Amino acid sequence: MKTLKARNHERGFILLAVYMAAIFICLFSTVLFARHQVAVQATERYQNRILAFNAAEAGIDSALSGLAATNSTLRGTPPTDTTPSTNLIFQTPYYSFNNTTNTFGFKITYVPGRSDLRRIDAKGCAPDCTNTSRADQTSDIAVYSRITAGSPPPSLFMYGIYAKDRISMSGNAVFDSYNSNYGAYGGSNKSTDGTMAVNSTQTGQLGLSGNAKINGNVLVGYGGGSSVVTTSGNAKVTGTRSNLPQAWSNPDTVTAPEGATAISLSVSGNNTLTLPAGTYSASSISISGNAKIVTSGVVKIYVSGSISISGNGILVTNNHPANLLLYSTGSSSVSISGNGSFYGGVYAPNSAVTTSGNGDFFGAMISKTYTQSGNGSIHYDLAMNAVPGTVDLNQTEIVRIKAWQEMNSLAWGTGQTIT
Amino acid sequence: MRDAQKGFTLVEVMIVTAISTVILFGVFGILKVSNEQLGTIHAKMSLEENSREALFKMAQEIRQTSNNKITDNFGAEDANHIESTNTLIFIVPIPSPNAASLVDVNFDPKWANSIQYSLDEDTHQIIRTSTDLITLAAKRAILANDVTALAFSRKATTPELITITANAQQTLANGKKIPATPIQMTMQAQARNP
Repeated sequence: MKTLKARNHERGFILLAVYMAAIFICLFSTVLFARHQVAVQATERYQNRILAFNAAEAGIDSALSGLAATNSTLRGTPPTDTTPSTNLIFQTPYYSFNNTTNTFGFKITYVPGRSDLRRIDAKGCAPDCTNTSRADQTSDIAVYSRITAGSPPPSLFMYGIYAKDRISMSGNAVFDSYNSNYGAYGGSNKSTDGTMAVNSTQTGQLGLSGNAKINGNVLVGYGGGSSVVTTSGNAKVTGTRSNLPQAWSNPDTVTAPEGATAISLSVSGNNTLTLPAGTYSASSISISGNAKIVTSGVVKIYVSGSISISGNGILVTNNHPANLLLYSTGSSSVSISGNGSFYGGVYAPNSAVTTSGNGDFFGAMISKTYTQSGNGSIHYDLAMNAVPGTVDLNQTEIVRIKAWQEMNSLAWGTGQTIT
Repeated sequence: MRDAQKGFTLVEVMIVTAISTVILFGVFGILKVSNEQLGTIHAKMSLEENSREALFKMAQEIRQTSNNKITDNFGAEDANHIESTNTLIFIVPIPSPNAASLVDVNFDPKWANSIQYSLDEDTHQIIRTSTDLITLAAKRAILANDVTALAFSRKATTPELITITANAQQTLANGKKIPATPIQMTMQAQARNP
């Protein structure tokens, strides 16, 4: 009995110690949990803010996409009344934040006095548009868009060869097509899907002689008849002959972008110049002797003067024509010769372009006039159709952003006035 | 019955006190270390949170500008054709839904304010200075503390895409640096205006 009571005293002390330890652990855990809770909520808010912004941009993209469609109801008909009761053209049902399942909405309004402009207001929210969700964030973007004549072409190089004024082919040249995405030209990777176009209605402006052969289609200027294409000797066109669209306009002149890296591209002798991927500007290109330029990745070169490529030419990554784009910003001549193949796209809407020698041309070309001689053939790379247009090639309509503004600018107006 | 009511002897109380003291010191020692660890984690989290918030604010304002409205004070390009600066200066319109504030008479962005981001190397703070282009009234705000390095970079081929890089590290009163190696945070922002 005595022993039992003594043990009871000891049990009381242990209980006290256990209580103390439990209290410490509880306090410790509570603090830890609270801190993590704060961190999790902060992270959640941050993530939702980014999601909300992306959702709002999706609203803008959606509206622009709708406006871009020809005869789109989203464009509306601008009111003739100078003080219309409403400028609203279209509003998504969930623009007013009353839907729980959607995360963005937009509305399109007229701009008084400017029939070519539309204002788009988009809202994005995350995790949803109920305004009551945990860590709820919203984003608002306003955009002024302009609908103008001229739409971005499906691609910059939608035709294998395009010339403003004249195309002349002689010798043994063959024009056909292939797709570099499916490997090298040859075997089953050959097709007659390419098109050669000249924007002229005058007789003989697409002249084929000798053994020149177009294994593909031909387009001539709107209104031009069959006399635009002339053939002699064994020359022939295997595909269809038709006209460019009525609203077609010639490709625009380009200028070198501000960020282009100025570089000298004159190589001769046995020299090799290596060009990493990037955008360059040069006064001219001259490759002669055994010299060559080796590119790495996608290289765009804007040239203000003449282009003369012979010797060993330009070695393009994977022999993929889309990896080399030459832009002539002036009207100087472009000459590609020699016995080596050329892989690339040539955009020279104001230049006389010639290809000669025995080397083949793989890619696509835009020129003022194009003259081909020698035995080198032209193989239009259908993959060039994916090169995005940087200039307008035809005259339908285009929606461009004129002004873009995000409303929930967190830093705006903060700080103390500096005196 | 008397045995049951008997108190502790002095020796028992002293022994219990000594044992309790040892246990309590042990517990407090563990708590102290844990608390320091928690403090470090908390400081690190705060650093990340504050830096991230500052990067987001900067990215948000950079989105409002145009690549040709960013002052070209970037240095020479490196081997990867990337140029960088530690002070970014650009201009933005007023972020107001009011059309008169947002666009000019031609409905182009109404450039109204110059924004500058720089690092105060003495106080380790990211400083935002905004100046009204007409009244020249200026405001100075601290976007983040404990930032040891700040850089803005872009590639010559994509001048509208700005990469912001910030290193954050807190120095405690006892000279201890948290974390030992600065946290590096990066964010990209694309100037959206044409």
